[in-house]
Amino acid sequence: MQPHKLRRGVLVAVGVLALGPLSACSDDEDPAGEPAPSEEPTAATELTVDAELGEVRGRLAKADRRQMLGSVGDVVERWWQEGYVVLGDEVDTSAAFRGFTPTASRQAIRSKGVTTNAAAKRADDVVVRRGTATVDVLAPGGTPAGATVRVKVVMDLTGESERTEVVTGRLFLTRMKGAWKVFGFDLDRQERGGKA
Amino acid sequence: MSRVSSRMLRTLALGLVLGVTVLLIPNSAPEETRFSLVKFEHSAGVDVDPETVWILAVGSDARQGENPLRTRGDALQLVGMNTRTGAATAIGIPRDSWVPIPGVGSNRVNAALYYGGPQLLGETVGDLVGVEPDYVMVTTFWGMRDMVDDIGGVTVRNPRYFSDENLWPQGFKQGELRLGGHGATAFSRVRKSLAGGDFDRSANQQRVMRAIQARVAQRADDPGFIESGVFSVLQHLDTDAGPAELFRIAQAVAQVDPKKITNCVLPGGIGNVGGASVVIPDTATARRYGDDARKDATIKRC
Repeated sequence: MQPHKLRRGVLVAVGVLALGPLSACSDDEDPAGEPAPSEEPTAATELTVDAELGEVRGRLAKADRRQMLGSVGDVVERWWQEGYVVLGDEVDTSAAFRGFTPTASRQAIRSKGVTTNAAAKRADDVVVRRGTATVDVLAPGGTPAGATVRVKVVMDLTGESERTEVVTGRLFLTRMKGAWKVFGFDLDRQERGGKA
Repeated sequence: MSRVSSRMLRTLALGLVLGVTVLLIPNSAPEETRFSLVKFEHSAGVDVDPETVWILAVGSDARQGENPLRTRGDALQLVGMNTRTGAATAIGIPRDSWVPIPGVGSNRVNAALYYGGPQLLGETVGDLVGVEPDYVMVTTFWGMRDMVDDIGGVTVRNPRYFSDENLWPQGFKQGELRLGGHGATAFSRVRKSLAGGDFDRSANQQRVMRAIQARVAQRADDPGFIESGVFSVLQHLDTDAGPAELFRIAQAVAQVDPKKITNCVLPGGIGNVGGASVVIPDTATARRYGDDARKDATIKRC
């Protein structure tokens, strides 16, 4: 096991309708251990997010690395849980962007079509199939001062329009009043259709 | 003095003298090729305080062994960056502009660095344009050369051929040029062979700045690129800005939208003071630039 890698478990609500279509999709990105499709209603399943350390400039002690991943990972997880695991009105932007600065939060809400599923059209359900977060750290003098989180979220949306959507990009964080906050982001969202 | 000193006017150095840039238009290559790409959306934003950051980028004429903070500032670019909209502007100040220097009297603007360091130069330019820089960044010839080399060179659009027998005898061709650190520095320094002299040189400096920033933005999603840049600044250069502050500025620079960049060089006439040729700056235009761009980092027309 890599010492810098921390696997994070996230409990995500997934409707049973989402699992049916997914089972027909033999995409190699399906995470190992994903629950088998079931006819039984399922309230929740676990999404595994790999939050791992990327490039570090400076020195970061092993304990600090874990703490860093934990803190930054919490911010990212909350965003994904509240922003991507649900659809439409169920998206809670204030919760999703609680780890953002007020200005960054407003910017993210203005771009909610990219930063959340609040504007997802012709979809009844969503499964977040995979999420990865790689954290590059600036740590001069052994103190982490800034971080770039490279993210990728893969979602299957089902309903009238069945498609896979992928969000990729970066979050920028610094520590403010003891907590890591997102002060900026640069994200792309790609919608892919025509499943084989 | 009081206006500037009431705010934090800081001396950074090098590296992040970026100004104006390219918003990343990321990878268009589908990652899972059995799907077709049917939609693409992009969203970006950065929260930096103040909303519009003003940086006075100074190219010092210091030679090796001299203190670059107390020599003359030969390249002067006041760069504004609106971190909410991605707009950016650069106002080029001809180095021979004859202006009042607080506590010194009238002199060439570039002498302010010699007399009072970055603080006084910031005040002097601030008085001229009516916009106080939040930061003053000073770089040297070799600092600029190393920075351009570190980011892998830049691509500059050159509007006409020019050369300099000392700095670049082989000449710069018209069109798109790929330049390393030495070439980019020479491109910014040549003056004598340019028809517009210092005005044209200032415009060339803006072309290089724009190219640097385009390169930075292009590479901003390389793992650890921004972190490396900031770390290098912290390691090798004298700065009193904190690492987190530098990090935020650097990320904001990478988010500047190239479609929202405006560059102007302050016009003026040629005058003579005590037998020396100087530039008499158009102070009304300087104020107009400042008034235009103060809040949104946009100049409507040069």
